[in-house]
Amino acid sequence: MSGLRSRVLGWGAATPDLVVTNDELAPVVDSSDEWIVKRSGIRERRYVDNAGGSVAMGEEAAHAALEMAATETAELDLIIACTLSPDIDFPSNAQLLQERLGVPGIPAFDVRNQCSGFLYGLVVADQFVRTGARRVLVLGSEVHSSGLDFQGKRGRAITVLFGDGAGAAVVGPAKDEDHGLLTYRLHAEGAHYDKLMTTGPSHRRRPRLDLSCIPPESDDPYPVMNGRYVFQHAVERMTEAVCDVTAEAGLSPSDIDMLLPHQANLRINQMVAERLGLGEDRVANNIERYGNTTAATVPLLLTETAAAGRIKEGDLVCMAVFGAGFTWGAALYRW
Amino acid sequence: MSAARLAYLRYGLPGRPVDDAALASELFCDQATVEGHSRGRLRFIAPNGQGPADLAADVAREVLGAAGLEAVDIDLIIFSTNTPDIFFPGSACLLQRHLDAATVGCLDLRSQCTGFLTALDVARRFIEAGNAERILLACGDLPSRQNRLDGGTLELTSAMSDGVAVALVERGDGPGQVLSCLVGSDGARHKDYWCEFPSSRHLDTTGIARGKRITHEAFEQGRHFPVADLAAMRQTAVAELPGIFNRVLEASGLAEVDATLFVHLDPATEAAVTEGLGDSGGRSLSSDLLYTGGTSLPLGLARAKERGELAAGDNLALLAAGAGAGWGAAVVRVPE
Repeated sequence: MSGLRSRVLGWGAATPDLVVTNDELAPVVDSSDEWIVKRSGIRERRYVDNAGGSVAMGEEAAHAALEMAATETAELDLIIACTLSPDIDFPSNAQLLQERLGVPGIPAFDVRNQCSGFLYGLVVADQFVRTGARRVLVLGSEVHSSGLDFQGKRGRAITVLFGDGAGAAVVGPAKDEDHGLLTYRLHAEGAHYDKLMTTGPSHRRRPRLDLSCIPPESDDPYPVMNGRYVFQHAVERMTEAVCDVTAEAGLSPSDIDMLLPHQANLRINQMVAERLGLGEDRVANNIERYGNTTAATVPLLLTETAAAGRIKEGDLVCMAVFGAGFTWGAALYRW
Repeated sequence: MSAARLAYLRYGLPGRPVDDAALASELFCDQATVEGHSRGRLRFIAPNGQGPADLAADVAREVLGAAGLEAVDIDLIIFSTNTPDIFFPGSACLLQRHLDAATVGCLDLRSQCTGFLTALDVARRFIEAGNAERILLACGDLPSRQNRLDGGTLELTSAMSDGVAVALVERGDGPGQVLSCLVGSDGARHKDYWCEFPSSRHLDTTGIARGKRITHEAFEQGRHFPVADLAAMRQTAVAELPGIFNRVLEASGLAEVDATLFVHLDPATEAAVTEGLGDSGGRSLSSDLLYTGGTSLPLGLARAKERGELAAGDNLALLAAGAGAGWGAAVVRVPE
């Protein structure tokens, strides 16, 4: 590889004020706190209010990350926004964030890689840093509450899992070859695309939208998932990706000081940790308070874990993700 | 750093050409108005049931066959589209499924009219950084799915076409080499060409139950259709493209290029911009196809080469501007 490897220079998160507990949500979707906690570990999630969106939350997270990185907005070379729940159809969330940050002229585009989005975004940022960029803002931000099925039983298995949230990172060159992104893996397996997806609107049809495509007549705009299938693959693939990146770095999973796994299901992460031989002290989780915020889970988790003093300079930090596509991957950092 | 080159560029145009008379008949509108927007360029409309990844699959197989590669030889698939097959997952994963490309990483990008240039920039940086040897780069846009079919916004419905293009971006120099590539953007101008719905930011705050990404109210108001201010778009293109052209030219180490290909939603904007480039822009090329968003440039390049307007190794500037507002430019040696 050429060029200085990239490093996360600053990070930040933003979450909505409105906390929705299992007890509050359960009657709406005909579920129960016990059922939700047992299967996912989730106890509450957050929803944005009417003024909010993934860009507004992202702006708050971005400012926090920029401040930590001692970076002015004018120093940014690129904005990458990772989301599956953009504020509008087009243009991109990155460009709407660019407007809010007041940095015209630089490139701004979206990465649409679902739960793996932030990790893919960090890897794309790494390519820009290795080829000359000095400061890249990577945002993971999602508003799921507007895309879930709250109409009774139909969507309950999925609706209870997701929440709204945002996290951001400022990426720049590492200070030396001993720090930063040591190695990564990006994977996908489109053969399983229909095991976790939202169909509508679909550009396979002309027009892409008509009245028959809109709820309550249609459930096309709502996600569908084969939970058991996703669970099994997530455990296998995240474990595999972590083993691969540590091996490539000449290390082993037992060398990891902190694993930051995607927050889709606490049971998945517990099984991954067990297979990797990592104790609770070396695996971060916050899903019980936020649910699955897809592209936002990793930066949100990073922000909270670092704030708790659980990540120190020199630590070996591994991010691992899995989600719709299927897409998955891992990134190994010397912090 | 390693050089990156664009290779084995292929394209696909779905179905048969839909002429102005046929479109005017479908839309119950005046044929002369449609002709005024299309200006003789070709229009294709993909058959129902086909999305960008579906259409890109055969083209991608052609690319891999020409390169003598199996799908698993690819390090990464990048798909740029403004009209994905489904809401999620992205079209790169769906293309990978068609190709049976094992567990190769799939990156989906959204950059609208600068989609190809953004994807090219990302791909060449993976190569230059030494993190990939060959990347399958796919672009596909089906604006026929988004635009109005009720006779409104004819400046969009009449002026756009469906299409896909696929190429390899691989390590190497010579024909196809990407000498420079830059993209710029100004989100403050995003309403110059935009589409609001589906919109995840619109919420019903009464109680916990939400789920209003698409609503009957928004549908009845037509807020799921793109709208464009062509005058504002022209202003951005005229203001930004000469500057970024000069920057990519300088970065390429060339004093001039043999030709410039600029494809825009509005042909008058194409003329205004290319006039402003001066002699360093070389011959001015345009596409014989109607506008295909971010896929317009690779389609235009491939067809200009087919027509004999470009030869392998020619130094070519590629320009794009549109939704975002985004703009960009690249200098490439024309691939074989």
